[in-house]
Amino acid sequence: MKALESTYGEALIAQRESRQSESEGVVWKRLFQEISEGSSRALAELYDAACHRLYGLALWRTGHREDASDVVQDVFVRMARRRKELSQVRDPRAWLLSVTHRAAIDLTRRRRVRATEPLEAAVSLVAPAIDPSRALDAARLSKYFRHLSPAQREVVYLRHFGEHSFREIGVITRVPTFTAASRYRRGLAHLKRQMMEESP
Amino acid sequence: MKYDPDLGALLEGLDAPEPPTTLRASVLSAAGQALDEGASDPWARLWHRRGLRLAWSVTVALLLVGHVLLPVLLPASPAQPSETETWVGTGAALSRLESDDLLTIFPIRLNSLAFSDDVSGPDANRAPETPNDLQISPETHS
Repeated sequence: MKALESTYGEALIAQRESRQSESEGVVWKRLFQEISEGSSRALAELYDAACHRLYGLALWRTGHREDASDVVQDVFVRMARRRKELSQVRDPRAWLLSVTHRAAIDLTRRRRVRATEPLEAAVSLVAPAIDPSRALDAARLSKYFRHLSPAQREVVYLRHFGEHSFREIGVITRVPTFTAASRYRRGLAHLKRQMMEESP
Repeated sequence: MKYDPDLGALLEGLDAPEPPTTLRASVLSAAGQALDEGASDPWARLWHRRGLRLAWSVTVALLLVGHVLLPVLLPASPAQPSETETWVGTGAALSRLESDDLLTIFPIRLNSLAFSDDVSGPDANRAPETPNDLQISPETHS
C-alpha cells in the first residue's frame, strides 16, 4: 500500500513538473514571438526567466565565471540579431540551451590558451541560503566536477538541474541520445571513483 | 567497506551559482543594441552610418567614372578566336580523324560473314551462337 502511495505521489509530482515545464514553454514561446517583433521588454523578461539556467550551463561547460558571463551575453546578442527566426522556433528552451552550448564551445576554442593554465577554482555548485551546512558538500562536489570533461559536466548539469531527458540533451548538444546517456554514465562513474578514493 | 555515494542525494538541494548581478545590464544593453540594428533595413543602416554612406558613394562614383572612361581609353580591337575556341576546334577535328582511322583499320564486311546466303552446309540456317560461328569464308573473302 505504501509502495502504491509512493508511486502515486511520484506520478503526481512528475505530472506537476510536466505541466510547469509546459507552461514555461508557452511563456517562453510568447516571449520569443514578442522579441521577433522587436520588443526589448520581452528580451528583459526572457533574461530574467532564463539567465540562471543559461549561466549555469555555460559555467559548467566552460569552467570559468567570466567565460560563462560572456557566453550568456553572446547568446542574447545572437538571439537579437536573428530575431526574425525566433517566431519559427518550436521549442524555445531547447533552442536557447543549444545556442548556449554552441556559444560556449566557440568561446572555449577562441580562448584555447587558457586551457594550459591551471583550472580556475570556479564554484559550480552552491548550497541554498537556508541550509548553510551543505556548503561543504557544495565545495567538495565542485572540486570533483572540475575533473570531469566539459562534455560530461554539461550532460550531468542538464540531467540534474535542467531535468532534461537524454533525448533532449542529445538535441541540445547535437549528439545521439546514446552518446548523451553514455557521457552521463561515464561522468558519474568517474565522480564516484574520485569520491571513493578520497573517502577514509 | 565500499563507499557508494548517491549522487542524486548529494546534489539534492544544491544548485548552480547565480549569475553576477552586473551581467543583466550589460547583456540587455548589448542585446538591445543588436535588436535595434536588426530592426532597421539595410538602406536605413546605409544612410545612418557615415562610413557605409561614404563607401557606397565612392563605389557608385567609381562605377560611373569607369563606365564613361573605359570605352574611350580602350579602343575596340577586331574579334579574334579565343584560345578556348581554338582548342575546342582542334579537339573536334582530332576526334573525327580518329573515328575515320578506326573504320579504315577494322573494315566490317557483313556480306563476308558465315551466315550470308552463299554459304551452304548443315549449319547454314543456324544463327551464330559463339564468336567461332562468325567465320569468314575464304571464297567470299577473295
